[in-house]
Amino acid sequence: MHNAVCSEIIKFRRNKMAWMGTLIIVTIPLFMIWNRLVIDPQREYMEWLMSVLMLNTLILPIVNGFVITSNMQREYQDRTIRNILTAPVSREKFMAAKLVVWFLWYLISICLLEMIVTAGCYTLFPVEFTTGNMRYALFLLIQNNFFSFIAGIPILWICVKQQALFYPSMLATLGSAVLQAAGLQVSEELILPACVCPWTAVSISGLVEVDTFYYWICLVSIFLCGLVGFMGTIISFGNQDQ
Amino acid sequence: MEYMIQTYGLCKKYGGCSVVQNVSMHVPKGKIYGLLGRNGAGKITIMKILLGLVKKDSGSVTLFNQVMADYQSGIYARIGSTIESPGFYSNLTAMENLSVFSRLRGKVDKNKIRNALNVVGLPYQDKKIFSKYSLGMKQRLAIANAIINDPELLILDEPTNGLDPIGIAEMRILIRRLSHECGKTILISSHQLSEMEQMVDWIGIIHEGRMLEECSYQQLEENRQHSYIRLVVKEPEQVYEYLKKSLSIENIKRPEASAIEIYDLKYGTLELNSRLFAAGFAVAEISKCQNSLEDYFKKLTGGAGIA
Repeated sequence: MHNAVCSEIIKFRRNKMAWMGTLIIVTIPLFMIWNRLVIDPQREYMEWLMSVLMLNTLILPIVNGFVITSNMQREYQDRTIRNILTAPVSREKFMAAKLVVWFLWYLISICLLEMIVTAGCYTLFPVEFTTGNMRYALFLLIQNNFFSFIAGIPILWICVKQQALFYPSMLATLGSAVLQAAGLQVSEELILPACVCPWTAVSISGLVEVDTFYYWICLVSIFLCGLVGFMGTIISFGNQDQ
Repeated sequence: MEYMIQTYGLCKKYGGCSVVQNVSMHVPKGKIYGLLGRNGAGKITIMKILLGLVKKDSGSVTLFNQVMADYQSGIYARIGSTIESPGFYSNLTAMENLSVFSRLRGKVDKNKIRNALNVVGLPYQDKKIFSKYSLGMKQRLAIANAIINDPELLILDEPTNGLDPIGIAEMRILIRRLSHECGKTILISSHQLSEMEQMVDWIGIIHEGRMLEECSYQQLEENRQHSYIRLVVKEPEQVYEYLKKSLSIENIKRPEASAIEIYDLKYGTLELNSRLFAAGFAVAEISKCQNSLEDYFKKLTGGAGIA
């Protein structure tokens, strides 16, 4: 497993799509800082934070889906998957290593995003830059991004099923991003079905109180989605002829 | 005889189409085994089954005297392979590509990478990325990746594909050296029958998913009735009877109306010509011919050539 992870890291370091993805992710808060400084200096702290969250909710799953799609699709298209499996590496370990390195990239990218958001808050809203406010802001972003990743694991399954194709997983990525963004706008009467749908649940989990009934439904829905996605990936890849 | 690879009753279907049908194959240790067949004959599927890339429907595979029931990384680590077109990361250099695959096996040993690249004639410190490589260079890199870990068994699919004539000759020498000097067992598939003839010790002829013949190359030479005398005469019926009855030649064939092929070489061309002339037959053409591997392949497959 360790060898497979190290090998994936070597590849990821030269993956232009991953570098581009990180750049886009860090551009979100940078753009919002520039927007507050130049275009809308009157915008208040909570409004600014919610705008960052909204953009983040929309763009992050798309970038995430692009990165894993290009990463997996290349293995099939360049037929490197055969050299990997005959190296030899067990199929389960290979897929687990993919998931680990994908998550590491995601973690680094969102850490950079959080740092820029913190720096932005400190620069733009010195009065509101309190421990309580920052704890809330960072928790909101970290939770949202972490849940977004978990709910995005089924994209890996689609990548395995589609093999050298590109569009099915891209459509799924766009669909999940739209649903996550829509989750921020859900009305009260639709909140229960929205909590059951894992992608809308990602956004709702940040809006409802922790330890409420709805929060737990969101949590179960998201983690179930991730688990099903991962198990589906392992089973599909294990049964796939190369 | 000790076998590195043994398969029994191997079958594989894609959809409703059988691509491998009841294939039993025996690859002796330390030998070069050539798998001959047309496109779609099932060669690559057999190789993929051996490497665990494709699941068999039925039959058994024994590698290194161990029946392969499930994935066994210890066994596959002893095999080097190239299957179909070389699969490498297009944005990485040769050294980086080999590092990625070496890392999967454990520690990246730069000396091993350097040696493997050196063996196949590729530069070590080259900034050129894989997508800029010619087909021949890609093929060489695939061989380098196959031999980097010093495997006991090599499974090579069309290793000379895309190489220039000098490259083909070098590859042939390398493969023979790996087998004869380093004692490696090599399973190789190729369309280039002339290449196979110069390389292999054992041969398996596969057609439409079935193993038609499996024997040593020496045995094949005997089986295929290598040399024969070809006659073109004016009165083939009478000549045929004369050869059978008067000269007691048994193994005679008539591929065309006016042509006769004599496989029983008890008479040389000169003597045969003299006897026919003395018997009053007019001989338009007499020559000693070699039955090529392709001819033999055609004969076995009922007329289908290799290309």
